[in-house]
Amino acid sequence: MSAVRRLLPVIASRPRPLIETLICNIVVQLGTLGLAAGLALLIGRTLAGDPADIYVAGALLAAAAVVTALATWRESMASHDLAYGLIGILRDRIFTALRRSLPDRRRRRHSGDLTSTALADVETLEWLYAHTVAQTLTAALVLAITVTVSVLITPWLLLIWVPLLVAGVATPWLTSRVARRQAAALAVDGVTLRSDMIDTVHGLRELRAANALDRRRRQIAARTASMTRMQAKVASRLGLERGIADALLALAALGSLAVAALTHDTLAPELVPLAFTVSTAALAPAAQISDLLRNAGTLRESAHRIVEILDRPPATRDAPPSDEPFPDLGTGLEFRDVSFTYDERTTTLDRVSFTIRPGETVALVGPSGAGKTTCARLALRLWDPDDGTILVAGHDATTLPDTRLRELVSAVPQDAPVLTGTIESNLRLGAPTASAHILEDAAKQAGIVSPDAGLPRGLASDVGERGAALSGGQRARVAIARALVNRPAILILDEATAALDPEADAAISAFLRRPSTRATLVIAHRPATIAACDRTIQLRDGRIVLDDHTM
Amino acid sequence: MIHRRLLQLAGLVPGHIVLVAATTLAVTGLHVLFALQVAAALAALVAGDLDRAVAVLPWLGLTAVARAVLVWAREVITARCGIAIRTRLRDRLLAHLVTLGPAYTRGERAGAITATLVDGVEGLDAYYSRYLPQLAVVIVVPLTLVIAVAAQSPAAGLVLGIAVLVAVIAPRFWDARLLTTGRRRWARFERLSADYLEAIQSIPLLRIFGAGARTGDLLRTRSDELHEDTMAQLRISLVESAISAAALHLGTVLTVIVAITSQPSGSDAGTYLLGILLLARECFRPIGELGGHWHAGYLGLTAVDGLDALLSARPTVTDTGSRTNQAPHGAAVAFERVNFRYPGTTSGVTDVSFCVPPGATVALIGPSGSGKSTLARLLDRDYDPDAGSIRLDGSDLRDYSLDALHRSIVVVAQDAYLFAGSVRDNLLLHRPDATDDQLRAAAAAADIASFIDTLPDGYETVLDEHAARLSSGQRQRLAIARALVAEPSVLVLDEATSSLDVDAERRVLDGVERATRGCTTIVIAHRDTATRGAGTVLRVDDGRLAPAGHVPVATAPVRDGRP
Repeated sequence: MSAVRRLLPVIASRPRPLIETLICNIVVQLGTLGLAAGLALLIGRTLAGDPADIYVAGALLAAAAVVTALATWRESMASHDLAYGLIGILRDRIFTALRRSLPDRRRRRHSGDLTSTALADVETLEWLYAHTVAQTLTAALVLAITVTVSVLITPWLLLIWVPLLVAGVATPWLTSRVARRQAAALAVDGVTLRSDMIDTVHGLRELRAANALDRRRRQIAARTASMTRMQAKVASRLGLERGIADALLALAALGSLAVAALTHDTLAPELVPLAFTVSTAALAPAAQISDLLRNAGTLRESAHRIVEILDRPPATRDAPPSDEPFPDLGTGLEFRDVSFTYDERTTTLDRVSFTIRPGETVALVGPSGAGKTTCARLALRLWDPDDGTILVAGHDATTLPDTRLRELVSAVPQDAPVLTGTIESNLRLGAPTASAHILEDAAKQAGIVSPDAGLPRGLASDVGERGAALSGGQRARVAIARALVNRPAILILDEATAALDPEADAAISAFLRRPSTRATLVIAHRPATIAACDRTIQLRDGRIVLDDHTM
Repeated sequence: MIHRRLLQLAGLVPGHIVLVAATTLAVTGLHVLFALQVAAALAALVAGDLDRAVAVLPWLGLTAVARAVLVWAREVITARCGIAIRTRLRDRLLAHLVTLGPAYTRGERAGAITATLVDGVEGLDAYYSRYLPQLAVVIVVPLTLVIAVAAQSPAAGLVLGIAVLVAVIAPRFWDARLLTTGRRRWARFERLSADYLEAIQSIPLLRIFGAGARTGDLLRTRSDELHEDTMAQLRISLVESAISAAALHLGTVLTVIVAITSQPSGSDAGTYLLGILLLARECFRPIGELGGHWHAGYLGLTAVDGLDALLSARPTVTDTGSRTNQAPHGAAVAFERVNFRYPGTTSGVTDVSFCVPPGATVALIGPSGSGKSTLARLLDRDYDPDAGSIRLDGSDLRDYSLDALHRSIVVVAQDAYLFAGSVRDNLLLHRPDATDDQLRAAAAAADIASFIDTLPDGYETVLDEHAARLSSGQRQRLAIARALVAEPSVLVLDEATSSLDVDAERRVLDGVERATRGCTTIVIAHRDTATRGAGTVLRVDDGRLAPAGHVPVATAPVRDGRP
């Protein structure tokens, strides 16, 4: 239960709804028990010829019924409030953990997998918070009361229902190992299903073009077959547990009648209905506790996955904030003997050294897989190198506070993702408070606001889901403008101009040629772009094979 | 809550639902029988009639065993019903999604569709496997029991009847409300879920721009708003729980009080009073269970809007063509005065006419956003032209079945999607029966064979989502290899080599040319390096064809449009 236990303290961050849930739950449970007992006693006394004042009894019971009903309402509200609040907190912590630890250097989890954890597992835990913590505490109180009342009626009753209570709690406990295994298997299948669906929706064009959808449906059906087999097994186990729970309840009723029959010499007849009511009510806490145990498997799996995310080590460690002034931009961007590997088997970068001075524009070229993009990612400090140092404006990048680093270095990353929203919201990504003038300036440099850009609404244009409403060239230009907004001292363009048409590309080449104090690294494929650079560095198999100062 | 669309879908599993309802009815019947037997035994005990009490006990035991077995069976049957509805519904949605085509997923948010396909379908399970069958029980059982109580004491029957009526009817009013407000919540939940997906997938970008914390704050604010909003709705919606509880508790108390005061003289008082008490409880048991099932399935029910939208969406193109064979290798392609606007926009193509003679290569160039890719989408029949016609081997594209069309024309898009699966599975997408030699030949032609050989497991290497670990150049070459395996009659490369450097692009295009000798090819590009080898170069500007490039007489385009 360690993962569940680690997440439990989260509940303490919302004390008010927690206490309200607890109090209301106690009122509801005691009210329900009291009403059942009161009615049983009332009927018992009536039948025994010792009738109570029916109007007083009626008024009392009716009042108890109303209070119980009101408490039921408050409880359902407080428990929802508690659950939603905690879900929000957990989700936020998960996102925080992910945004520090992604991109994953070694093994990527399918993003369907990660959102499944972030959203579905958190919803599963809602149940833990809203329906179990307070209820389990109340169950203990109810248990104490039923024990006391049973002893007052006849201690023999305990002999009947205590073993049944133990059996009721023990059943799910005994099957919990199986339950946990089943829950884990189902979770894996669920993640696979979600990933399959994401793949199917995103790849719909390809599936349709390949007439492969029927095949895909069969594939998904075959994959869900293992899931449904497991679900059938789970249902069979749950059915058995519910059947046993139901039988135990019936046994408690039967047993209390048997005790009443056996002790009829000593047991007052008017107490017989009460004895029956208390014995059956005594098993109610068992039902709550076994519910908790029954779902423990699923709960544990969800909690485990969440804790796993929360425990992910950050990809880089942020340096403490400093107010140290930057007198100049130092050597611009400098790699000193940088080595890096993704999986400890193959070396991606092998002692790479180069310097891009302020004002210099350097083309990084080489075949696919040579390590060009890795250089860009390291310069952007998505990860730190295994060996060697990267100097940004003369400072070791690992000693720079993240906010400082992000002001100094900007990029147009590979594939240049554009986010859902408007062009303006994209440009503001790294500069939420930038003035309209600055945005327009960046947009102009990237050629977004020119009349031939095809964006009549300018910066207010909607880009659609992840830029779907834009053409490839427009997306690239938005990404370039976004990188320019903060006027970075170091700019990295990774295949940024690949999707641009000749006119836009010419504009970018001109922009690259324009004198500035910026150090610019361009991962380029095209002669025009390379020609616009001051120098070419060629990379092959993770090593620099050419650093041409003569160009 | 009865919903037209949901009831319609119940037609997917009618037998299962009836079977669950029958089993649930049997379980409830055994509860009632058990209650009557308990009342008889208790009455005998209170009256001191030990023999009569003991005589009931074996029957009680028998009822209990039968009930436990049925409870087990019901659980298994319920699960079968749930599995059936989920499997069939999901399959039906997937089949429908493909008829809608990429034009639909383009407009909608992929995250929202996925949420409907996964969470929506999962959530609906409880409605069919538990709620509907329980509804049948609620209609039958309490009514019968109220009549039974009324036969003993009309006054008690009346009180119980009113309480039951309140307990059954009141929540249904609230259910309707809960569903509308819940739908709104679901819509926002879907949006939040889509935004979380996008944010998580964009985390590297967010880090580069130092925007991770801000995005986190934004999502948290949205999540808090959702919380506030939900609570505001629940404050009213949950009044239902108070009314249900009041009906149950107050109803039972008042029924018993009335029964005591209106006790007919001369009857067996014990059986009478205890019978009414226990029957009153049994009256509310199925109603309570109905409420429980409702709340368990309520989030799922609210997915019905997403489901409804998906199922009622009409495809942008119909599949009614009668040509079911692949067009001959190297078939001619002709655009004849094609006009098209994206639905609800002004962007598209205007009066485009050109032809690609059999086996020829034509290049389309032009600035980004000029409509080049629109032409590729029209060839793929994501959409049909508003006016004019596109002909393949002399027949309109609409005269081909979609299956035949897609075997004939393969478009490689700039951002072609690669699936989570092995390299081999990806290459086999169009032609699952292709041989290893064919795969290797295609990979070699696309200049990706040597890269695949360096992968740890070669062709069996499993790619992650959208092959994110590969560079975009590697992805593009894999997509081209995949298209070559398909051996189409017409190959369309839509900016398919845009991420390659000039040398690599030349190697790939040369390889493609050798591998597809005689295949009609359309190359769409914004840079002229990709159009090498094209007999004709056409220029697209602002959705129209403009005269451009070198246009040899032999393959001159048919041009009858405006200049």
